[in-house]
Amino acid sequence: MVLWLLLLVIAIPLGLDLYMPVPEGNPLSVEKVELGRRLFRDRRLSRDRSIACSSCHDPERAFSDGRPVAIGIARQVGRRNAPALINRGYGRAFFWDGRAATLEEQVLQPIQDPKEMDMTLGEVSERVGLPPHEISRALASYVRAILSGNSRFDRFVNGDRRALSPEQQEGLRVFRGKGNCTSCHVGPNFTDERVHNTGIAWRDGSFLDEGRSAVTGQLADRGAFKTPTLREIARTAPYMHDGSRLSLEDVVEYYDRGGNANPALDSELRPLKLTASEKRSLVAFLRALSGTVSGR
Amino acid sequence: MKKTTLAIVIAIAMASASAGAQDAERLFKVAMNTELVEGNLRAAIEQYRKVAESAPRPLAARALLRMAESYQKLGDVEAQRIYERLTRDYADQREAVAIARARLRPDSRMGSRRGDRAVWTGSEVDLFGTISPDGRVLTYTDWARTNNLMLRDLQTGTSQPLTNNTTFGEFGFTNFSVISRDGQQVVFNWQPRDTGREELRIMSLQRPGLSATWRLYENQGKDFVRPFDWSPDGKRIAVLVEREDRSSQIGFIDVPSGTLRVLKSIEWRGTERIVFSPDGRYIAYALASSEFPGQEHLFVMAIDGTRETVVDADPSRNQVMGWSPNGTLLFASDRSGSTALWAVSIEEGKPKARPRLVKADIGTSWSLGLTQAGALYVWKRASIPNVVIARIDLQSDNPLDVTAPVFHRFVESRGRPQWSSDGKQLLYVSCGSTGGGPCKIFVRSMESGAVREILHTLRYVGLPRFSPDGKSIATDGTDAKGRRGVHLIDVQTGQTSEILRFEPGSSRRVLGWSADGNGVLLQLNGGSQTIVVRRDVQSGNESEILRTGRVENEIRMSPDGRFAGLLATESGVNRSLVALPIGGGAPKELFRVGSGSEINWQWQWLPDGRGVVVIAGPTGSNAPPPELWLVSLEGQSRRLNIDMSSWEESGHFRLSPDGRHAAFVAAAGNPGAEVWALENFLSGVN
Repeated sequence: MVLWLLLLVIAIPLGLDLYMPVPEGNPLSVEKVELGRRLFRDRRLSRDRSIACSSCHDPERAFSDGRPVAIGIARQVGRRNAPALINRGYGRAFFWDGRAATLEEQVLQPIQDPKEMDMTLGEVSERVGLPPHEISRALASYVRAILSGNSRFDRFVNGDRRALSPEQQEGLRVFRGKGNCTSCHVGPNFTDERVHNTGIAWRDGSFLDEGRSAVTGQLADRGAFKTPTLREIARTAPYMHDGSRLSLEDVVEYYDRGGNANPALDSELRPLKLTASEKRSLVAFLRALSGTVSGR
Repeated sequence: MKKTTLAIVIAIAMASASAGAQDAERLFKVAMNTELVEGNLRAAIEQYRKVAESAPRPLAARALLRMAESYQKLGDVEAQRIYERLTRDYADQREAVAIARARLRPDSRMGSRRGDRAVWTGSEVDLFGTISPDGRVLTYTDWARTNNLMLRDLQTGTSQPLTNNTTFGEFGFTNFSVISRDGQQVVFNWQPRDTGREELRIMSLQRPGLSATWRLYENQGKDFVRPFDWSPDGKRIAVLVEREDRSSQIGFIDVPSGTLRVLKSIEWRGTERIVFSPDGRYIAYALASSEFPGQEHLFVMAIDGTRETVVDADPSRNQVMGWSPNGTLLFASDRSGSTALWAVSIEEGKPKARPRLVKADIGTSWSLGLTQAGALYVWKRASIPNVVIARIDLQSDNPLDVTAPVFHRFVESRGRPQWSSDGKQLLYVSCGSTGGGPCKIFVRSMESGAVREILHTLRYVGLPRFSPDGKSIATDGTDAKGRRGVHLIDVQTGQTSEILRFEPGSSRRVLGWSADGNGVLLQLNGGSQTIVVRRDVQSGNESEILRTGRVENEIRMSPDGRFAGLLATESGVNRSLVALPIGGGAPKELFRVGSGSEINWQWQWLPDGRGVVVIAGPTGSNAPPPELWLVSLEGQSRRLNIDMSSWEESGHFRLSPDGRHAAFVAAAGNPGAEVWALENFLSGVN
């Protein structure tokens, strides 16, 4: 019965876990997902009614925006790249610095961020005629319904040995082996949901963004950011928390040289010494992680 | 007015009682830290005493229990008195009393209690199968001759093959098998010799033979699917999918369609068992903690994927054993100091109450399944390994004094004691009842007698060794992501860091520390050569120390660095021990055995480097125990009159640096493994 209800609300595509950690206080329902979908596109959630959640998380771009960093109301430039909001129902930490522990908590923060939507919860509640907790639950439910799966990789893993080209299969071998990618990009969602310092924030001897450290105050967390999913990655350029890498080739080159050396560099990063052919194969494999995106 | 005053007085009293309880809880945690992390048993005992005097009865009983354990670690008979006090004065605290009673038993080994019986003992016994629902037959794998799937009739004591190999792997290879809940079918791993692709096959137990089996599932690539349990209706098989990148997923395969449904991806954590609830609506499993792989927590998940519940997150090693017919989840846990059987009632996928002890000291966490009558069948080692420290006088006619051991501690497996270079600390390892991990490292202070666990982050440790200054431990091992390498562990904090990662298939092995304590020695085998290098711990730079013809055994450097010792093989048997001078010169043969005998790989240099201690003896399953020999660099040998009959082969024999103590692993009981049936315990559970 419960399975039937769940399937009625969201269909889990090939490649993703059947189990999604939905909080008991906010069970999925068709009504909530639909309300969340409307709120997600509702520009009344921003002070000047100029932007909605979908402005930075465009359903046509796998719920990312194609810009290096997010743009808020009044053309305010944010600090970080708008992450692709796919498969976040499986997440354990939210935002690039992992500062939110639940989706219910996460969805309300951009609304209140002065550089994003700049509203108070009271104001937005009055505008849409819903109490904040209902807005939170509906938006979180909708985000849980945004799923990407059934990619060529998924079909390959599930028995269709022709779903990946020989070059992509070679890329998969690099991904799992010499590339050491699975040290962080693990599991069906290609993320360990943990933070790592890959050196991206390190420029000219200092951190441009403290990352996780700004949340925890821990020196070890300086410059550390959450591992993003790699699903739909071909459609979510530019890359990294600051959008500083424009192409997948650029990303692969960066990791091949072991990242930017800095005092808190993650021990998983080291020069990979990939050949040109291996780099091409790896990029070809990454492109095979695009599938069908639900929730659009 | 009076009523108001009374209410205020009661409120103040309640508040202060509550504050007192919180203080006691805080002090209890401090005491546990003192005992388990700092290893200061005397101080911990005083802290536990204060808790016991001031805390509410449940916490007081727990404090008394830990206090008794601390005394027990010190070898103090006060432990017995506290256990007696618990059974006498704390009858309402059933869990603590049950543990105390178990500890008070003169022989608390399984088998001494009513309802426990060994049903199969011998060299064939393995742990890859399950018991049938009626308890009559057991599946297992013949590892010695054919690699056939086998069926053991426990009533007649006979075995029969279920697959058709007449030589090892003639048609294919098998390992895990599970009998269905109706006892009619068995699902098993099968890797046909011709395709090499792992499959899950199903066979009717009424019609043995490969030709009558059918393929339920074929693995993709190098993935591996391990079957764990049939659903009660026989329509699903719970499995663990081990992916090529070492990550794992929990799921089930539909019968007969063979469709795999992944319920949950568990990164690199793996699990040792997945069992269906009696109604088939839930599965239970244990997963390693992300932070400390040595700790495993219990979960229950709805098979439709709608809910997962943490059943128990005690910071201990826990493993699912089975599910009783009335919905009580049985699990093994070492939370009380040794592996015991615990139970927790589950209702609608959630725990109804706190876990409670069912049977103390069962000596294993490996379940072969529950029968319909409620008997739990378990695999266990036939012998009980103990790390022992005894006084030794190499000049005496009876060198080893085992009648009064300095230290005697049960370990489930491994042991592998190692001394620090000053002889003040001894470390040893326990890797679970099967020996496959997760592994715990303990350090015993020879001065205080305290034993403490080092909370490292490795999943498996090979052979840990103290650095020359005793502050670090270097060990080969497997990290939480399943990768092999060399790691450094801080003895005080447990902080673990990787020195070197082994590539898949690497032949590198760790030989120990360099004399300066800044590097580790590694042995590299390649082609026809073996090279020993020193790898600097900080820089990772390597420098060659020795290059020689290929040596399959481990090379051991003498303490003064003048010689490299190695075992030379003849027809695959270790026949002689040879010392190669590092500075050049002819190799010296130090010791040799005749045909029919072998030198054990656990030989060691004497602490002063002037000779070696060698364990050697006849080969063969019924051979007499090996002998211990003292051999000088000049090749003069003297047999030491030490009874090695209880010596555990994988457990080492290590002389302390001053040569006055020996640490080794002694095992009481028979070699091999046993299958036990634990019966008549469900009435207490239900």
